[in-house]
Amino acid sequence: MKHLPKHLQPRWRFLAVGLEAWPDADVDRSDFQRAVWYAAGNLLGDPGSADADLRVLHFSFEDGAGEAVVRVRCGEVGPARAALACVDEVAGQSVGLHVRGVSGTIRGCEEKHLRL
Amino acid sequence: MYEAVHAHPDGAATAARFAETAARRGYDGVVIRARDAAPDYPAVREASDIDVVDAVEVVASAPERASGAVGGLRPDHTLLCVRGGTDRLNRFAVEQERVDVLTRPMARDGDVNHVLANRAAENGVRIEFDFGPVLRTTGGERVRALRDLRKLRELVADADAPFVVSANPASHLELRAPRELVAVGEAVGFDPETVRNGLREWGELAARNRHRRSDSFVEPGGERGRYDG
Repeated sequence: MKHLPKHLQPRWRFLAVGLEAWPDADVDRSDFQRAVWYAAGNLLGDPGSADADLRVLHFSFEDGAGEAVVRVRCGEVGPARAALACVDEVAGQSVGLHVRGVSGTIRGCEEKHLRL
Repeated sequence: MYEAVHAHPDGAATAARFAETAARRGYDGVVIRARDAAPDYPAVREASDIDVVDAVEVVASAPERASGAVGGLRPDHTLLCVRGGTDRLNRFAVEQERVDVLTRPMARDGDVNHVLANRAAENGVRIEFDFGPVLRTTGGERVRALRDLRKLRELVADADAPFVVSANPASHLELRAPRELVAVGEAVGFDPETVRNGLREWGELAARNRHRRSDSFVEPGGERGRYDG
């Protein structure tokens, strides 16, 4: 992968996402990433989904609760929020999900909104 | 902003759990649209930081059956909703001033036209925009739900009919924060302010009905109080 000059590098926002599920649920990062991609693809279509470019960076989940950091392209936070709201199942298990906050850096996101 | 939820045994989570989750999501209150649910409202209100509204949702197969339920349940609950879903039920609900909200008017084979929207505006019956299928279905089912929502949105705007917005959550996991619902609304063509107003409307309805049911209320414009002439 070629490096880009700084002014051409994409700018990102990082969404801190809180997850909830029934206590016996077991969800891993790849399941959640797949659910996010499907939700974005279904709600925003292929162009919107490509624009938002949602990627799950950090993920932790145990005892029916978890949190994640989701990267989104700057300026697409609204559509990303909508797509995340449409995630109602991960690997066949119902999940509740809500965006705790948005930051400009991963570290900011973790320090401010996550309890890792 | 308020959300109207289906609590246990109608849904999968208890009223207390809904209230606790809704408080964390930033809601000012929850409306328990009960069918069989009968939570202990004072205890739930005591335990949570937000308002909990005692509501009932009449689910009937035909207007003849709904009519008796509306008359019987109206005096005992703050809010009364009638679930639509057929043309006759939708028609029945918008004709009744006693009904506060017509829920899921476009579900199943229900439909709304300009006549019904105008009647709803005259009688002050709120029409519900149900975001449930947008959030929880995919494919053809969601496409049909979105098509119906768009039609309903245009009719409601044209008739200037009152409306409410809800995600129809049946468990605390299906509850989405107001900002999330606004974002989803924007993605499917709603004005952000419309969605916010629709969520606020539940609270305003509850406040209006509580005032009407209070002892000091005689009729609109007529209040019982101290005479200060």
